[in-house]
Amino acid sequence: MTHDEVRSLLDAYIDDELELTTGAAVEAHLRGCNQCSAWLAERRALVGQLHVAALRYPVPGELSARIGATLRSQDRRLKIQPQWFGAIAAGLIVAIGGFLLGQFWPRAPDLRSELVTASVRAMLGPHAIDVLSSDHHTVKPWLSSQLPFSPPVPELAQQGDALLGARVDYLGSTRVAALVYQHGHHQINVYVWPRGAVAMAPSHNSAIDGYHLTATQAGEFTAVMVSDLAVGELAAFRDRWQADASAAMDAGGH
Amino acid sequence: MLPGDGARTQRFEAVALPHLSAAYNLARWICRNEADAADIVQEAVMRALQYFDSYHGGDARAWLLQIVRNSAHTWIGKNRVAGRVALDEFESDTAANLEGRWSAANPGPEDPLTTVVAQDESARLRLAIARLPVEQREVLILREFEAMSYRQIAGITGCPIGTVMSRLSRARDQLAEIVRGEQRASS
Repeated sequence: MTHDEVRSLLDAYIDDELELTTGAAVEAHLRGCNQCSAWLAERRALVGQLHVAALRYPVPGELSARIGATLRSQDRRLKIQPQWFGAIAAGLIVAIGGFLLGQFWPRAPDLRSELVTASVRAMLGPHAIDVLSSDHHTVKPWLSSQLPFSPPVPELAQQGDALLGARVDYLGSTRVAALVYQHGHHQINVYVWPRGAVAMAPSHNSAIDGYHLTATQAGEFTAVMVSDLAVGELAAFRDRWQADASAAMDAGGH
Repeated sequence: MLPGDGARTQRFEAVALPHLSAAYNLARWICRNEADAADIVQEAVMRALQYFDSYHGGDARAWLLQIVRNSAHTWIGKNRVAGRVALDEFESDTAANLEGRWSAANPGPEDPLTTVVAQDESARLRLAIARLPVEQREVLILREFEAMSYRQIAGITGCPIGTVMSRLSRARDQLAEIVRGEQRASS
């Protein structure tokens, strides 16, 4: 090994990153080369100095507290769930009552605003999408692994609605699939659950806080679309989604 | 909305939070100011939580540091675009500190810098590290302060081990230069 070769390896030698045989060759050279030995000693002193100089920056207490609080707030969202049982039960009773009265839309306003709130919160927060993929072969198995059912996952890219991915969301205590699509500048959240798991009448349009909702059925599933798209466009999307999902299920599912 | 339950967050905390100090130190050294480092780390931790399902055990510190490093570089990119290139709060801070210490200790008119340097070698080292190009700086920080192997550093920075080696050597060369300069100046 030449003098220059050894020199270029001395840093790795100090860091104990050389193969045994290479290390042995370096040591052999060092024994006969004062220049390299002196350089090595100086380098070791420098590295030692870096280690003792207390140059690490400690985490500001304020930051630890901030991160802790953010994580706890993520947690709390889940921990308060039992409190939602009452609201959901009440919503269901009202919904059944609504059906009995022959009303078209079950009176479960909590559910509709909860869907809008969930969409807005998901879009603003870091949890818009947990599985980021435009391929239903990726999205569908992921959802199946997270949920007790396997929802339809239409890919509608050719019709101008790009699948962005999906996440699992909560409606009260019920875990539902949330598919996320992009249509122009707008995102569309499609919530899917087995029919009857959550009360929601089909095909009814509704608006809350600038967001539109519409619902449909595909096979044994109920789907609710939530978006800031215009009502007509959202209804058109709903029909495309419904057609594709039904076709896929008739064909035996993807 | 979490695709799981509170237990997931708790598991995440157990895996990631022990490495918060390494995360902050890296971000702080890459971006060189306190407020941005805090934002970078906060964002990186949230991103790590989001991708926690893709963490399958193994080197949690390297996993988190890689996310922090990427967040920090995104930050650098944004600041460059916004034309706020490395306004170095760090340097002005340190310069002010050194200045203050000098005037307290040495009211006389003799060479201020030499005196300060001899008094405060670690402040000088700090400044010297802060002035390294970021590619060298991050490698040096991971090696000297986090004692990470070349392989781990290569994983975090996304470059080959050979590159890690040469960046580290160049960083140490520059620091050695400065230390030698000090010794000459003070003798």
